[in-house]
Amino acid sequence: MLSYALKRLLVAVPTLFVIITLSFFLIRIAPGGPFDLIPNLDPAVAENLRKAYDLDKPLAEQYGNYLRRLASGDLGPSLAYRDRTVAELIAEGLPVSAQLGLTALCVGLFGGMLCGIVAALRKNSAVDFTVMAVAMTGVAVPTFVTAPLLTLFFGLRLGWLPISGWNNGQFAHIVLPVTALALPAIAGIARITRGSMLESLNADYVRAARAKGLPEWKVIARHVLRPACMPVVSYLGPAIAGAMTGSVVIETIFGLPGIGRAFVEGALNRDYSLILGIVIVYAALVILLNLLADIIYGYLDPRVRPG
Amino acid sequence: MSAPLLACENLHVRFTTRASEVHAVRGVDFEARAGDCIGIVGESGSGKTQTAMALMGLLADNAAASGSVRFREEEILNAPARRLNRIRGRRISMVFQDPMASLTPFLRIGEQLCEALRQHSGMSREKAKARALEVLGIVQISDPRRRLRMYPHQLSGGQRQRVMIAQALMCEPDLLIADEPTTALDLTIQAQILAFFRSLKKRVAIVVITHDLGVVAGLCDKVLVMQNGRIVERGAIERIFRAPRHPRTRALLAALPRPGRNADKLTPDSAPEAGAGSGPLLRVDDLKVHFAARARNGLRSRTVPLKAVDGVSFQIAEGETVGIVGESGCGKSTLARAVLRLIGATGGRIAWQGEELSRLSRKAMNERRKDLGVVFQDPLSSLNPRMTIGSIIAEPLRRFHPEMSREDRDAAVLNALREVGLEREHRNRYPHEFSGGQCQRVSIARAMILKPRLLICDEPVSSLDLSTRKQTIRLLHELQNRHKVAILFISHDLSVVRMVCDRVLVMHLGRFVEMAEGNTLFDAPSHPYTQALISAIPAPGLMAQQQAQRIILAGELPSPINPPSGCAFRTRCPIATSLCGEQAPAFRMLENGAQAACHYA
Amino acid sequence: MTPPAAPKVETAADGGAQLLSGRSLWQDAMARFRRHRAAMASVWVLGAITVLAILTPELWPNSLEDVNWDYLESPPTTGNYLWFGTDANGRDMVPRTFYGARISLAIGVLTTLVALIIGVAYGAIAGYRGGVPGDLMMRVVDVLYALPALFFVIILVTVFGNSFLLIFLCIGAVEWLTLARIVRGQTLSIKEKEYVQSARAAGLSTASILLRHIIPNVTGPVIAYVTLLIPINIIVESYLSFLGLGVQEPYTSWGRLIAQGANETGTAPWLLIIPASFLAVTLFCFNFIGDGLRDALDPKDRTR
Repeated sequence: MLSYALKRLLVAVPTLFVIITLSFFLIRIAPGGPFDLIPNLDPAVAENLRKAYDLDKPLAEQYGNYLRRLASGDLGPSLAYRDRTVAELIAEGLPVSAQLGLTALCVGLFGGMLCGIVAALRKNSAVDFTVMAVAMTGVAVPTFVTAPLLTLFFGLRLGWLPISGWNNGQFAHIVLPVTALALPAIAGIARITRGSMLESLNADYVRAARAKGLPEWKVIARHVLRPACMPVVSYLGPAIAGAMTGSVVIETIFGLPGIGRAFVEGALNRDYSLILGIVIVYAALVILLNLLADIIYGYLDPRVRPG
Repeated sequence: MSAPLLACENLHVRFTTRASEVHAVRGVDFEARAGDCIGIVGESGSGKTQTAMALMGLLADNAAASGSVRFREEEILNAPARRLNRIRGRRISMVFQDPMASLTPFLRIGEQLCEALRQHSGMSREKAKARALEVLGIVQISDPRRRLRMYPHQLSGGQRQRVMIAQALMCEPDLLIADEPTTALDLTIQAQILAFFRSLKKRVAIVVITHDLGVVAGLCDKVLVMQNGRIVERGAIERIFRAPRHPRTRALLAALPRPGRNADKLTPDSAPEAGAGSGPLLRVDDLKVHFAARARNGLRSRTVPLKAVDGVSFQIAEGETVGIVGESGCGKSTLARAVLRLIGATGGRIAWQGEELSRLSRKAMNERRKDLGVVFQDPLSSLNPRMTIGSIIAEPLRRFHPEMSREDRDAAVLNALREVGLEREHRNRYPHEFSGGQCQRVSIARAMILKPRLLICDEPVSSLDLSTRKQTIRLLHELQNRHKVAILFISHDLSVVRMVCDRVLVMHLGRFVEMAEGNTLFDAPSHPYTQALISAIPAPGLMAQQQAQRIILAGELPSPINPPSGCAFRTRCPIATSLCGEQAPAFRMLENGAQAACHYA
Repeated sequence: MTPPAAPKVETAADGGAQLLSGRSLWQDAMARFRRHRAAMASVWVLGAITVLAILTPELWPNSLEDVNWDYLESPPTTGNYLWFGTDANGRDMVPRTFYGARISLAIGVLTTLVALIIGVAYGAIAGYRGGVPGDLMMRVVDVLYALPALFFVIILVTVFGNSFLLIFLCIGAVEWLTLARIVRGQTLSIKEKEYVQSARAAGLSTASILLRHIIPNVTGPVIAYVTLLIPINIIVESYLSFLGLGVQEPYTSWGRLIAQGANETGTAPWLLIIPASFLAVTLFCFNFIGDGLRDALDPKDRTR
């Protein structure tokens, strides 16, 4: 198992490298530069700025310099916030985004599985129909619709919860963003869990377990739940990507100082080094979390376990 | 006379589906007493499996059972799960058909074995484990201590079935219900398991459910024959085999192979004019097909050759029928695909009418395919689900006779349909609307439409019901007589091969171990492997004492990645000596005209 | 081992003509689809929305840009046909909502088309070619998978600008990955099917095998996925518009309308609720149709 994880980590390095290269050149071939947006900029000043930020060199040289600095952990200076480095900006925003994203993922995972299991065990009952209708809504309605509606209802009408701000991750402040972000995950996971539960309830080995005279709860706990979890684990990859995508919108709507919002601002300001830095961080996170999902999968299903 | 263990009276099972109600079991009565061994026999759909499911309270949600099932006087039909669970797994246990699907894939063997015992007796983990080891010993699994820690997919098919049986025996039940316990297994493994069931009869009452009367022969004392949900005949096994009364029973008996006699042999209308002046139609010399397989050695994995076919030579004359027989995994299907150049050969030569096929360009090879027909095993997946039967059969015509007019092509297709016994109306239908036997007829029609000179049949009847099997083989035989086509017939089932083949090659682990004329092979097999295969054919008429004389091979087919040294068969061979480990036997001519690769043949 | 369906009665010759008339898998699938009530209803609702999206902006008494000075930020009213109310500039929300529908639907369908072409071609080639080149092609997909799609789209849009054409090219260029995986997986398994082996043994050319035997059999899962990809792409475009990176004034899309509405939830909730409802209903419909198609094209009980 350990050697498998190490091997996967080794594959992750070139993957990350390709992503860095791709993003770097994509961003640099764009017409216009980061300083075009500053009104009434003297061409000479612009030239100096370009020189200061290493943008006047040939592209290949810039790329080489970037990689060299990256190897020592330096993501370069931000082009829009000129006295900050990208690393500082990310270090500020990442804890916020991580707390938001991971909480939402956990809520989505447990909430979704619980709903799915209950719906499957009470198949075709009112509970099942309710859960599935809510899940369908969660799948179909994007976060940027649910988030303003939640704000409207719980924040403005009822006045129970603050509608924006982070306040160091205080509980009341994260309830709404986490809910909005977790809803699609809950919905997707509930649907998948229900489907795989129903499938594994019909498996031959479940009948064989019943033939052993085990009580029903034991049959389900030992023989049904585990295979039912496996499609959920493989859905974790897309769910992670979804949570990251969603966090961009959620952070914008709720005014949270995370890297998702920094990314959007970077894109609007053409802050190349910031965009690139955040893409690298996100790609690394996705790769890492997917690796984790694969390892869990291997733990659950001995048939795919290497060796 | 004591009370019966299990008494089943007027049992009915109905399934309600959205469209209709299916009355699967219609009034079944029988009883089983201690020491009984009862066989319930019927074709698929006769309701035999649903009867067993009803006994165990395992019917699907949309099923309703009525009647009465009493275990030791206690009514258990439709009993609440709590009461049922005191009996099932403990007093009655069950062995299911497909051990791969019926063992939970992600739990270790040890956990699965112990859970019923611990549930019913509250035994400690250690005690349960000790019992599991004991039972694994009873079912004769090698190295039981290690098996306890393994997962089902790490075992072979035969071992999995033994684990299933061990699981059923854990609580020392009074009654064991086995649903098609050997259907998914190779013949030699089936013989092992059946022999084991015979030894179990002293311990526990057994109900065996099967479609194959050959399985109950020599095992059961009483037989119930089912058809359309009813028991149509019942009686002592000797009587059933000697004097069957119901037509269904007679049909089931007729579908059985009869060893030791030539009754099944389909004789050609005229003897093939073997090589009339010209050379052989197909000549294969030292053919090798190796695949790259990954073998693990500690942490490092490396690529090693998997020798699926390892140097085989044979020839087929015009109009001749040659059979290739071997257990699954012996390389016979790979051989067929290599001859057709569907997979590349690693070495050796394939000569078609003297012309070497492996040297031909792909285009030239495609032209030769006109004379090479092929029929594969799985009837449904052999036919493109999106095409009509008519266009499936016409496809080779379009390829090789594009100039043919539409009318001529339609006429040819209708003719082909008639030849294989299908109606002209069938040509506009789609494969999923047909039964397995019908699909296989379509495959045959497609293979024969260009009047090929050689037809390669890869397990053409293995996925069909026993009675359909015989009809399909008769059809092949008729077509062969009419069109004088040579057939290479590949099967794991010797009894099928003996019906049609002039010459038989026996394959083991990528090599031929014996080649002989059909009659010689069956009457006087030379190689110990052939002897074991012939003896493993389940057969009626062979009663208990004769069954005891069967040759039961130990163990299973060795891994082709790491075959035994010397003779690859020696690990399972009853007569192997140290010489066999040192030196691989040569394929040599014997006195009776057969050829075999054995030091002691 | 599943409970038996109606038992198949075989005549002695194993060739009884007791079957229904010949129906292709497509006809079967369509019949099953028509029985799926939610999916059928969705087809009608979606059709209605499409027709409204095409006609309303042209035929409605108030145009997209007209300012109703008497009705600045007015809630829905029957006066002056302002059934959906007006925005802060007094513009009628009816034509704006349906104009947004036009853009959102068009982008959903066109991006999916782009993704379909790239994905099917890429996946089929990778699958049928197989071996090292096929594996390499799929490694590229794996690498791109590590990037959340929206981020990539955002980069592309920032780099290439956000005209209508570029937006759907960008989204399409990112969303083909899953399709390529599906098509490759299907191709790999169908390639090993015995009917393809039979076709090869019958001497058919690679092109006819691909056209007659492989592609017709991958279309089922592809169609089902495509109906699910359309709503995904509508959402992606909405995200972009929501973040201010999508279509620009004077054009509008549901995402833009929702973004504007979200800023004024306190004072003018109809600005959020109306376009959001239309978007949600549309997404529901596509999801139901997708589910219906999946059930119809790939019924599990079909394995005999």
